[in-house]
Amino acid sequence: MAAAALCWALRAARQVLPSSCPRQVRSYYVDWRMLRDVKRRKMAYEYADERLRINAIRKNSILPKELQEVADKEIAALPRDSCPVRIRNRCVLTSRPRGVKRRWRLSRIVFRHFADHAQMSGVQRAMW
Amino acid sequence: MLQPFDQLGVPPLGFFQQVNVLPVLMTPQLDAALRVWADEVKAWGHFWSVFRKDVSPNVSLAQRSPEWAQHSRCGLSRAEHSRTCWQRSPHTRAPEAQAVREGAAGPGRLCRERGGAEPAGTLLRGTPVRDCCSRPAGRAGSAGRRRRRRCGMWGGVRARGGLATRLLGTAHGRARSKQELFSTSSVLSKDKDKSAASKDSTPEAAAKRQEDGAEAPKQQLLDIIGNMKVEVSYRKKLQQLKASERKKQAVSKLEGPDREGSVPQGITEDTQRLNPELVTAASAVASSLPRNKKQTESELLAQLRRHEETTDKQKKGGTINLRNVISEMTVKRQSPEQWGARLSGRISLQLDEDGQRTRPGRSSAQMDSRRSLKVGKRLNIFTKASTEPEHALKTVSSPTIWDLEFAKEVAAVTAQPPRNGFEEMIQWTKEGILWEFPIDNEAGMEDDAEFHEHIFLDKHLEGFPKEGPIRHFMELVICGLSKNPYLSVKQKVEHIEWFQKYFEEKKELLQEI
Repeated sequence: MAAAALCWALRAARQVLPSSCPRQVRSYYVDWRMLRDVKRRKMAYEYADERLRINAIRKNSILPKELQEVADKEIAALPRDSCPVRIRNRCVLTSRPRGVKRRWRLSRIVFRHFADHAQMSGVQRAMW
Repeated sequence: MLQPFDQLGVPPLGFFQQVNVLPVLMTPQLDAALRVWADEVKAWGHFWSVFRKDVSPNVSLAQRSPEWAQHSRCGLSRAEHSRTCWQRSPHTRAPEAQAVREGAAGPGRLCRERGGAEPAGTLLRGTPVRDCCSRPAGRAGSAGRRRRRRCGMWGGVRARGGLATRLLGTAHGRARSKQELFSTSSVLSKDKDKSAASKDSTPEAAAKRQEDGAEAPKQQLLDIIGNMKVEVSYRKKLQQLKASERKKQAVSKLEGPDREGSVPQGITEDTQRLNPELVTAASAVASSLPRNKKQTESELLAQLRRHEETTDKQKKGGTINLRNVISEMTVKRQSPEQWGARLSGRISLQLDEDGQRTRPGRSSAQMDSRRSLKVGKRLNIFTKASTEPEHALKTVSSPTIWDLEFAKEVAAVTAQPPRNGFEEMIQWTKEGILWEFPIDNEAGMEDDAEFHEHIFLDKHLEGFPKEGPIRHFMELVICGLSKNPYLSVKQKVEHIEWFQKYFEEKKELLQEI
């Protein structure tokens, strides 16, 4: 019985306590723009369901128009950062807003750098 | 005996000895490859002319002789075909597709067996029309031979097992594990040895009995009595041997029926316990005999005393006579019914779930030390029932702060950095970074709802008006939800409830409209 309790405690401790081996932990974002982008993403996640439902009422030909106007006003009243349109897919390492490949979430310069150093799995210089 | 050339259908080298170069160049693989290609590529006719004197370079193979044209389709040389013609039987003339497949597969596979021409095999597959009639027979023959050899090995095992089952005479048929088979066979072998030994002793004893029986008619009568008994223990036989050696057959035979009476009392016999009974029995038997009652009784008692002396000698550690030692040993002789009961008991125990009935299994292991399968700690790899005792033990107060601190300390000390990639992956799997393999598509998804709960959502529409645009709208919503595989039932119900709440809030507005 004590062993079971100890096991549970050990498991919890492992998750809380970082392991002794050094691992790179990203505690700072590259710049403030990236931080703002992160905030927008979190908020968009929170309000996603509500926005979807209100939009379902709005983009509708069955319900009366008055209801839809009310829904319009409601959705406009939501916080501005909750809409997903404001999210920008920035480069994960350099926060570059343009030239970002979606699959790797990296800007073209970083991608090229890693690919040349053979640090991108399955990526090879094309030649044909 | 399989010759290397038999499978490939390559004629012995004597066929090619016309040309000097060939024995050096021609390998079986090459020959097979050539044989295949020769018919396909007419340009190879020139090549063939080098090897075969009857082939001219310019004339195509098919034109040369209709016979050859016929044989060429089989991919065999003329001599080979004539040689293998006898193998052809009407049933091998299967539909062409099958023959093609078999034919294509046959030489290709055989070539590969020899590590030979891959292109030959692939080419064969490509060729549409190949009527290799003898190939299936040859391949079937070799495969059949191999299969028969393999069956021979297993047949032996099965035969032995079957013999064991038959000898045991149990009702449980073939459905028994190998362990049982081998255990029974080992038991059987043991018993067979004993029975053989006992059988060995009986003819000796019988012979000696017969010798001495001729002397006295009384002993003839005793012989008859002796032969009438059914259950005779091994110990009895040895004792009878001893007695016959000391030329006191009457006593031994009288002892026999006495022992027989004592056998059902207990398997493990102790003569000292039965002495008074033996004495009384001896007196009874002596009284039953027609003549020389007193003499027989005295002889019996003398024999008994001598026997006790020998046992006393053994106990004191006197001269170790193997015969005496063996006579002291007892034999556990069980009837076939008891054997069957034991085995059935074992089967019923084993067929139960592994984790639940460990005790009876262990007791059986204790009884029979030969069974080492149940001994030892269970690994509980294949059972989920083992989690029950853990749950039973978890009714304890939550761990205190000191326990947590201690646990943290222990974790910090014992957490070594991963030595290799495998340990790193294990660590990641524990943390949840890496998925568990084999990938479970429903990992993390604990939706235990049935399909009808996902699809038939009309029951949640009770809070809405039965007519009107809102109902229409909600029915569309439900239709969409029923087709959505990504949401759980809970999420769908929440979705509908949100709409219900929203429309209730907007009721006044709706009534104005």
